[in-house]
Amino acid sequence: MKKIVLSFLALLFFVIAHSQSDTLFTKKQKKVICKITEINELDIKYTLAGNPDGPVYVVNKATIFKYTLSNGYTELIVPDELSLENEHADIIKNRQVIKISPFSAVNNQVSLSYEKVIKVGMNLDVELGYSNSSFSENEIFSNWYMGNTFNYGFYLKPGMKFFLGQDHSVRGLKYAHPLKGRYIRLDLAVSYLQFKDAIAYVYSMTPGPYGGYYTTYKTTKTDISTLAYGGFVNYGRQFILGNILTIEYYVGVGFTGQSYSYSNKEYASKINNPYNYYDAKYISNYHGFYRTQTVGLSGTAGLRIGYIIPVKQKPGSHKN
Amino acid sequence: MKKIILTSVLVCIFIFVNAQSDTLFTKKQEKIPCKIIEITDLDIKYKRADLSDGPVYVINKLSVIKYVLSNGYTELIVPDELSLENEHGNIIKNRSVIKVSPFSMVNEQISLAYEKVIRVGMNFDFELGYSNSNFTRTGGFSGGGNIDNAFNSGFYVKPGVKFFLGQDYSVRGLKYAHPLKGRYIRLDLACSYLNYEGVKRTEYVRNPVFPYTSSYQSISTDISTVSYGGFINYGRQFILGNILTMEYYVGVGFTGQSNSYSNPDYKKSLNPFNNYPYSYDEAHNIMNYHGFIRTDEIGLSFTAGFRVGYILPDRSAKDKKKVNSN
Repeated sequence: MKKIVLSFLALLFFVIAHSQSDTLFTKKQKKVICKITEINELDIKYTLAGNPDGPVYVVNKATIFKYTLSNGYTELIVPDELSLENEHADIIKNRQVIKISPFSAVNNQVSLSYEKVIKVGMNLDVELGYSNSSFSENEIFSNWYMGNTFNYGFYLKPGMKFFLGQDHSVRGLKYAHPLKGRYIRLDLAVSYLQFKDAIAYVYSMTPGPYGGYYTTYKTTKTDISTLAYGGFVNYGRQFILGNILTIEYYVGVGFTGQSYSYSNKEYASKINNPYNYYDAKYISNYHGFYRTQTVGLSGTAGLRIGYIIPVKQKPGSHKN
Repeated sequence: MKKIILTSVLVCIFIFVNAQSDTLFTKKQEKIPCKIIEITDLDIKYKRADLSDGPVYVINKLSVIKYVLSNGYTELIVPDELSLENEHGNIIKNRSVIKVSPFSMVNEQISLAYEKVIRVGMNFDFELGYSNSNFTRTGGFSGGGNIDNAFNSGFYVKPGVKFFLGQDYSVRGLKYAHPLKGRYIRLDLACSYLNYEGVKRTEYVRNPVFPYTSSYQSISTDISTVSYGGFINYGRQFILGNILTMEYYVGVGFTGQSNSYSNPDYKKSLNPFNNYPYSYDEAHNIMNYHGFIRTDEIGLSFTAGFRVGYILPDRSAKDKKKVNSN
């Protein structure tokens, strides 16, 4: 009998306690039974119903879906549409991007990149490109005297983006999104190019029948394979467009080495003089980057548009 | 009888409670009976009259017109004139703009653009232009050669979507000042049609028959050309005096081109000794499509603009005012 009375009293106490308390419904689908003490523009302050003498909790209003007061009054929390605080909240868990370079065809190449957040402020970035001189009729950055020779190849640029953050900090200052902002990217680069039937005009001076010399020339053909490899330091900035796309620009400088080989060994021997520009060492446009001959100082730049890959929703979770 | 007494008592209690309470009048035209607890530089703290045991509400002072205390004391809230927090508060609901390009006549064209906020951070933008080489009669620039001297007219459309760039970092309370204001990337399509009338070419033609006399001969044609493609633009828009917008942008993109000649013989040389077939395909050289400039062969194209706009007042706000005044 005592048990029944005790249970009844406990139930009564529970019902009374709950009927006199307020409720917060969070966006994470939690229901918090509490006593709401203050509602301001940014926060809601409350004490837990089970611990009225305990600490005051302060919760960001943006994380609350609605609240109900003990008298039944209910208010839906409508997020401020102008707020930049939670601009990318809907995609904060989406941390991978696939990117293309829309203007790369100008340089006879196409590319595909993948970026993934490793930890906030540090992203992996890999770019793979394919070049083919027949993509467009004109190549803006041609390869010296070999500009008209059919060539194709590919390049790979794996790298790491380090976001620059701020020189100063203020309480509450946050990254808007781990994919957004100014960055330094350190990357490696390797590019392979194959030139088909490169023609060299080899001039020679022949003594004339009446004294003096006259110029004659012969042509010689070869295929050329060349590889350039090195590292770059890039500065760039990435934006998020409509929580769907990214757009980014970057410029970079680095050093690269170069190796090449001729299918026609005779070609190499004939052009082996300091005045001949058909030498493969003059190849400068490696598509993933532009290389100055001899020194190896190299430059790169790009504009990329990306699609932010949505993260798979866990079953049962929902967006508000 | 009992009912009447009860109703009277309830009304009395309501009047008594309200008479003892303060009132806030918000800019959203709400009237909140409450007990005001604190008034600071930025906020007003109050408890709702019907929820005396409920939470303390904190409302931004800028969203309140006036308050009346229970003793009759009334104060109008005068916004801080130096405050930038609510600089565009009066036009925050005005979200469409009609724009013109004041300097477009320099390029023999006029244009009209319309921008509308789809959602904060993402606006629809549509520009329609008309070009006519007689606007200023300065001749203009088409691409060089004989086409520069021919009368031409046409139109272009550029529908696009603006994405505002926001901030790389966020701080609590940071907001867009207005959904029409800020730096943006605009992705747009572009299509331009031009018609050149009486493009005339004169050649020095040698008679193939003895005595091989030579003379100047002319040939003319009309040329219709369409160019189409897509652009990525970077720009920035400002709000001037809560009435006008002003913006600049630059863009780069790719375009294709198709041309037709009313006189297909125009492309051929008049000189019987010259059989080079494409030497007079001048439509290929057309660069100035008014909505953009196109480079030959590659199709790499550029655009830039400067536009001034009028912010259209929000109709729903007007309608509300009418209803309230009635």
